[in-house]
Amino acid sequence: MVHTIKRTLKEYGRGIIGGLIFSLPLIYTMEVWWAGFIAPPGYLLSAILVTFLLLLGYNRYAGMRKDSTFWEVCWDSVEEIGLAFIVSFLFLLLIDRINFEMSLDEIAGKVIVESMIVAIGISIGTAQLGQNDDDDDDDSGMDGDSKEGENAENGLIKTMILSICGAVLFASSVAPTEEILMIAVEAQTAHLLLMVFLSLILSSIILYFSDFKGSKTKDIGIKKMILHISIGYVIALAVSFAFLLFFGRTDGNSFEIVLAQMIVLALPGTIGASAGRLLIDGK
Amino acid sequence: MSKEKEKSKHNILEKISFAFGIIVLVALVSYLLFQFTERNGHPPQLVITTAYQPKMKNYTFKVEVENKGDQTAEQANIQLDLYQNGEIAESGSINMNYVPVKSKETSWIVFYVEPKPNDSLVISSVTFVQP
Repeated sequence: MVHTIKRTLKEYGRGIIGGLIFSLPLIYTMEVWWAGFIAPPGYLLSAILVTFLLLLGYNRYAGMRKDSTFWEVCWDSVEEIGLAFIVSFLFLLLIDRINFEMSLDEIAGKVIVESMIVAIGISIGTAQLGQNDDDDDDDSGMDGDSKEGENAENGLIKTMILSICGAVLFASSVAPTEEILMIAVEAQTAHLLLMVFLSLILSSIILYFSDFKGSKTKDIGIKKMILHISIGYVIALAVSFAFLLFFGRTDGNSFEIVLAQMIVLALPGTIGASAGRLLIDGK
Repeated sequence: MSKEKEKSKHNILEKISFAFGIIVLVALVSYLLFQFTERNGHPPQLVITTAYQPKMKNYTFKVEVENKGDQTAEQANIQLDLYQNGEIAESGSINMNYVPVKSKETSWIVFYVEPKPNDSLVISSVTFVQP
């Protein structure tokens, strides 16, 4: 069925609002603007590739249309990247962070870095910020009927992809800042151990002990619980490392400092991988 | 399902957005690949030009800093000395957080001595950090 223009405009509106909700802190952060012209072209290419894969994953497992084929998922992801590019470009222009006296390298770098998080926000906003109406019969990321038949392996892949998206969204707002390095450098071993402990405790509370929206509270064995919490934490650490690498926080730093930064950044990352994951799933 | 049938599910606005998305993706990836192969990893190379601004108040020079290297320069500091009659009459420095690759940053330096015919502005040092 062909969607009406009105409905498409509503979806885009939701998507743009979602993109802004998740990315405004980054659009207003100078370290992110700087990353746009400091990051080597290879890193920017990787950012585009990783973002596109995350969009495919999100649209496949929690996107708006339940009857999506792979082609549809690709279509939605490309649309979201295009929208994200326009939103980022216009917003950076609005706050005078780009202008036409700058080199193309600088403009492109800044827009690419900002638009990647905006794209994920647009995807989530389109899928989760809407409400059902008569015109939306075939929508339904929120109903999740199609998910009933999914097998355990699919469920695990979905959990992991949504956890990565959640960790990326939550960690991205602080990852580029100098404060992560400052906290990591000044933290004692005891502080770092407590951060690891707190990350795991928060994750378990969110997923199993607080009746959080979409969380599982029944029939979960201790082994499975530990497995899920560990996977979430490993994802948060991996996402943290990727951000540190991208923003040049690993260059010239010893293994201990990089590890300390990963632990510091994994705290918000873990909240994203657990609470964020449940929220963006929208079930 | 054939691609044709899939395409028919989309309205004109969605088709335009999709086409725009494809163009953006292809353009960005091509541009970055071009940069990736073109850049040789040369360190920042700052080219500084100064120009007296007779129309501005006081004794003002416009200072343009262009980075012709392949990497961004961080914490750039440019020391400028104004010479009058063979001696330094006044000095000043300009600091810039970053000078991105292939970009030109513009700044101004104002001196308070009276201009004389044979004055010369000399760049005495340029320092920067490679991020």
